[in-house]
Amino acid sequence: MRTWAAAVVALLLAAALAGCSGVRQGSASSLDQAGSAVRTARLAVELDARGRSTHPVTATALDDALTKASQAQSGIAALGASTRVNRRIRDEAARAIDDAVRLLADARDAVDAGRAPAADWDRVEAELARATVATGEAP
Amino acid sequence: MKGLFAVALGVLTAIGGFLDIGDLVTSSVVGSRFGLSLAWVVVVGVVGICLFAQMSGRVAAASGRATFEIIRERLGPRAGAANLIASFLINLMTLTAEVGGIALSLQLASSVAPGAWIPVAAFGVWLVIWRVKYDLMENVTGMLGLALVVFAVAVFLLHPDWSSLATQALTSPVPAGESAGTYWYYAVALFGSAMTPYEVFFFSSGAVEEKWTLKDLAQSRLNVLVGFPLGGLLTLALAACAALVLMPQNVEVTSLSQVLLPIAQAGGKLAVAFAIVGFVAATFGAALETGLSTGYTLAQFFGWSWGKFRRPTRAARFHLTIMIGLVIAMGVLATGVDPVQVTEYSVVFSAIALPLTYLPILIVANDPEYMGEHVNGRITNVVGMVYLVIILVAAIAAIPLMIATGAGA
Repeated sequence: MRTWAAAVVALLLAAALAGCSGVRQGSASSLDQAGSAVRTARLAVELDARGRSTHPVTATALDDALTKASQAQSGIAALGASTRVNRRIRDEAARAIDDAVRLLADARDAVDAGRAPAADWDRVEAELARATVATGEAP
Repeated sequence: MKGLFAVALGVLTAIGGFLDIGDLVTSSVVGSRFGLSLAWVVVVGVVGICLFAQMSGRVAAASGRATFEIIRERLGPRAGAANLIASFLINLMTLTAEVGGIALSLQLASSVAPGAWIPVAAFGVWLVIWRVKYDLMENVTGMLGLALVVFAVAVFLLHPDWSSLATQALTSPVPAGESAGTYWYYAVALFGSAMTPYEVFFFSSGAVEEKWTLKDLAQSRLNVLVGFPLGGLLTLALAACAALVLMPQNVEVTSLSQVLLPIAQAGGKLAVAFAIVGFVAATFGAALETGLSTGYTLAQFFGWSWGKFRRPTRAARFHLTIMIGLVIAMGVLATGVDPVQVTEYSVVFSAIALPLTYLPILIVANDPEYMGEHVNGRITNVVGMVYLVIILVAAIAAIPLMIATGAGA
């Protein structure tokens, strides 16, 4: 009986650790994906502003970046978090990614309307970086 | 002079024919994540495709038969059918990726969503296969594909630290943040993108289409030995552009639009225009080759009348197969699947299917009944056997690596 109990406790512990690691990995991967999308969009917009790229290329790059960031958003929304720490990790990452998606959507709308996007790239990139660090540092 | 022109044209065609959506995407993904540390794979892949294309061209010229006629004859109907199914499905997957690639390239020129371009692209491919002469089709797409030379020019315009690039290429380190598993997964993908089976179906069937004889072998050898290595250099240039601009900014390539950003930075709008022309030509040329290969594999296996040298009414089932292939490609793309993802999987599955076509060609190239005095020499056989081992290792390792790394995620 004692052996069975020990096995059940070990299994529960392993499942909890796996769940923790799953949320951590899932959040980190979604943050990476969103971060790469934001940096791509920033590069595309900067090249356009310097007259080095064409409107269709910039618009397509922004569209693609928005798609990738939205996929990251769906990915993180699908993560089930059963512990308080996991929920905190996931929610912080989700907030940063939501912000990135909003920024990319605004930038795409501005480019579609023929305006220069007034995007605060530094702030969103810093938020994503902060969430990534928090994901790695959580106990 | 005429001969020189023919050689130059053949070389240009080989360069244009080597690069397709698989090379464009895979080399940029690799460049943005691994820098030039997988450059050695391009070298291995280029030597391999030169060997493979040269052997299959020689087999076609000596025996008058194309790859799948020989596969059925040599392996028998049952083993041949298994080979046919695998090769046909992978060819169809590559065709889907190429049609999607045309649509993505046209989006970069127009801002119009790729969904609207897919039927146009598929119709264009069908029309050219139906109406345009073989050599004209091959030469025009090959020469326009040369616009991709802009990537080699861009490397110089980006003023790289050459010693750092050389160190990456020669020491082949696994970059920080990447695992050995993803390194080897992308090594297999890059190898698969260089040695795509359709290139060989097309090359050997083209030899029959153009009625090659043994007299044409010298020119074909020159085309292959100059054209494919130059195509390989362009692949390295694509990787270098991504390594110089995207890797330092921690941008991972997941779309074709990202492949253009280093070009915009290096050469501005003119360079971007050249690159888009090159994208359209390379993907359109490869869609023609894979579309034709869809017909070649099935028609040659079942002994149907085939080839563009015959009027479509004289090779009806061959043309019908191509049409059905294009309709399936459109149907798959209409589901909203990302063509870049189809491409990423197609290059890995190409590596898996490669032994199925490589081994029969290697066997027949050594068979005096087919080849007469033109059987493989000793050096070709040694290199051929080394490549057989490499191809088998890549094919066996591909699926475990795909599962272990989550397809290189």
